[in-house]
Amino acid sequence: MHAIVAEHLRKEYPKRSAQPLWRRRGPAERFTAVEDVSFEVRAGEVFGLLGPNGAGKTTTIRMIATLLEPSAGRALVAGFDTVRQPAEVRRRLGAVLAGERSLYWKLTGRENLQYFAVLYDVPASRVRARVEELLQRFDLAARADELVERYSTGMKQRLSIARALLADPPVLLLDEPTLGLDPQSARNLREIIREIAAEGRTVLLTTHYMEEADQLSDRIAIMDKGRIVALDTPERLKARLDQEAVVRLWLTGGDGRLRESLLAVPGVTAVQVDDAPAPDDPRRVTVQGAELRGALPSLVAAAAAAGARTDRVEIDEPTLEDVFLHLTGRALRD
Amino acid sequence: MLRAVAAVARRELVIFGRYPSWFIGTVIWPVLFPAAYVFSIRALAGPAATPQTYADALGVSDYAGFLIVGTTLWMWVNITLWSMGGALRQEQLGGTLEANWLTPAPRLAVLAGDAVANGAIALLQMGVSVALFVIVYGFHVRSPLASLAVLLANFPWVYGLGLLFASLVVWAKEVNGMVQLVRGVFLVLCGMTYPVAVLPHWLQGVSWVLPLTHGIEALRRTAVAGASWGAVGGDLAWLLGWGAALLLAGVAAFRWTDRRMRRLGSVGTY
Ligand SMILES: Nc1ncnc2c1ncn2[C@@H]1O[C@H](COP(=O)(O)OP(=O)(O)O)[C@@H](O)[C@H]1O
Ligand SMILES: [Mg+2]
Repeated sequence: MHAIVAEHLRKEYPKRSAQPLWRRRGPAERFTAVEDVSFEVRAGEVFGLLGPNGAGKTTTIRMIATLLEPSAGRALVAGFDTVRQPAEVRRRLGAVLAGERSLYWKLTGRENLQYFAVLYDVPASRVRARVEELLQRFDLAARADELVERYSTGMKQRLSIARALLADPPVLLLDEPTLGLDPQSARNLREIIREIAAEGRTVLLTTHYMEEADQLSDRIAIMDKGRIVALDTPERLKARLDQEAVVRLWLTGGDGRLRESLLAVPGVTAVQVDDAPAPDDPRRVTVQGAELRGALPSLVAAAAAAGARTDRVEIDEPTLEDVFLHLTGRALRD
Repeated sequence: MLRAVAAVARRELVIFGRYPSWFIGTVIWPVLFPAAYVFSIRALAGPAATPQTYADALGVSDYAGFLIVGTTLWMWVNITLWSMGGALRQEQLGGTLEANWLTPAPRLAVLAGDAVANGAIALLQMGVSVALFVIVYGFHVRSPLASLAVLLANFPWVYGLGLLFASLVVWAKEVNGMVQLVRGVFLVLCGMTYPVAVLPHWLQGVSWVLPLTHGIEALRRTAVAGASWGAVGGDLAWLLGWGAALLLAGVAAFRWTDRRMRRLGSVGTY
């Protein structure tokens, strides 16, 4: 049996309105945040939802977590329907959705876990030991009796994950788990997620960091504008782009015509211009197309025509970000 | 279920204990609040007033006791509406509400735990207040057991109303205005600082529908005038009737809000 099944999930929201309730006339305008999303996550798999902000990742994961009702379609966790059997679903699910704010800041780490252990139906005789075990495991034991308000963001995030594991659930949902963490804490957290997966749990995570999706996931669904635009292993997703399909140029200067000028080179299908790290630094420009090796001189010339000096040229391995650009024509990060 | 209720109540009490300013505020206010009215009444009654003057005007000669009962009950209702509504809204904005909703614990158990904690805190505060009233105003509770029975008979309607407001506050900002309205109506119509009999006749009809009017009246009769609880049976029945109605309304409102949140997303219409 699949750990998680999403079948043609759709979610419509009423458009947000600035009007107070009594001034609104007629039916609210609707906006489709998720459209026809289907996937199946195998038991023990780490499945990533990758997409830019607003793609519908959070909406999807919240429908699976029983917090939102789908407008159409359905979701199953361990075979239980999220709308008709929400309590059964919640028994099998740990979730880290809102991150650090979802803890009681005026309670200690230990008190938070003890409290939620009762709500997760951990038997009274097991609560103490289970909480201690999780505090040890997530390196929180030394400060377990301090108020959570004094914890760092990374500690709060580890405590949230500990809470999600209280009932030893087979399925774990993580919404942007490393958002807002410093690089070191983010690395730690990815290591923790790998360990959790190694215990045989199923993990569904969302992220807009392509490296994170790439490193952690067995399979990835790439989402854009509410839909899944590709679903496969990271390797096979990247293999969709041919050899010599991705060229990176490091350009200094250049004006507004740069993108157009590069797109006009024969064989080029997509161009992504990154921001320069500092005003006078070279910026990275990704060019996609077919057999671009032969087109390198034309690319340098096209850049020069738009006033840019080419500092460096590389034919590069495709990344998931390139896959996204290839599929949507847009950059993942904005 | 009961385990979850107890856990939530315990959580709230622990958190309450960690905000010393709330504690000070809720102990000092109940004592200061009636003082303003005590002095007004003394000023109006004039230097020649005798106990009979007050008995003629208020029905009891212990005017401080008369006021203390009214202000204490009104403040309790007022604080409950704000704190239950505010707490749920706060938890929703912060994300802790959702963390509770993600567990298999019944949502009503979580709310019940919240109400239990609020009720326990209110009882504690009233206990402290009464002790202070004894010291500051020479207040003397005449029929303690009957008074306690009257007080407890108020719990269902007060927490039913609290639940009703908490459920509505979660999705509609306008409800804050409704809290203002309700407490204003209670302030004027329920005889907090004067006998309802001084209101225009048609308004008295409205007053005697409201539960707080009966709560205040019955508590004055028992705690201040010394009546037994048999003498306030009608008021008690009225209070319990309101209690049943408001608890049901509160649960229904919560169920409705809960469905609405699942359809619209948690942040709702703010
Ligand atoms: N409760 C809501 N009401 C209205 N629109 C919403 C609500 N929640 C999210 N949206 C909109 O739905 C779209 C998808 O949002 P979300 O699922 O949060 O995407 P992601 O997590 O991929 O960034 C966004 O355009 C967002 O503004
Ligand atoms: Mg999101």
